[in-house]
Amino acid sequence: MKNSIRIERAVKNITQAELAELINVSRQSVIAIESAKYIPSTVLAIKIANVFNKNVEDIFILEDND
Amino acid sequence: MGAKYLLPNKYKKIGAFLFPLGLIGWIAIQRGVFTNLLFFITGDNKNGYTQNGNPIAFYHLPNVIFLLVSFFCCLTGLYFISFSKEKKEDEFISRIRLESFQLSALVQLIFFMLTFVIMFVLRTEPTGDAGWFLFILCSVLLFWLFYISRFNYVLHWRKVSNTN
Repeated sequence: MKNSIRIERAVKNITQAELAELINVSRQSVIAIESAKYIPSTVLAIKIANVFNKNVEDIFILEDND
Repeated sequence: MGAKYLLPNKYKKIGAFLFPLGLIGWIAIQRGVFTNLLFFITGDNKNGYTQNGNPIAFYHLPNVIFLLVSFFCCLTGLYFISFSKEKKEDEFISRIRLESFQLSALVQLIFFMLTFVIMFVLRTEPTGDAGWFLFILCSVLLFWLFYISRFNYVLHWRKVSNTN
């Protein structure tokens, strides 16, 4: 699963630390999610989508091998 | 592991202080440093009796007490380091915690199996109760030290290598 968090962050001009603060997780979690090393839970995915005012499927995109 | 079993984050710092202190103290007492220090302070010698006429066994009790205190200090420190929360304990950190526990259990199992294979091949085994105690202690410490190392390595190295 890939995601567009890095792009959305750039558009909204917020840092990883600020995003982590907004969704109430550690910065390590944001780094892991952004680099697709960790797939977040549904709750966390919705929180991330809400920050960027997008739908979850706009941020997290399924790939063929998923 | 559920966060309800974890201690507040401040215990990690206490553990980081207690564990090395206890470990160094425990090794030092085992090596006779504490007894030699007592001899040095009191001016007694090792020839059987102290200056006050007390047998050398007089030193045995404080030695055992300090040995136990340092040993439990070491174990408590290890417990505090392993079971205290990160500053922000979230689902990602819980997953790393779980993975580290699983990997540590696997490493401990391999250690057990390899040790018994080596004992079987070399036809040797730990001598006496002390030898077996040391073997058990090593396997327990291996589990916890591997867990702490792996957990902190994954958590903090990823942070360093992916920042922007």
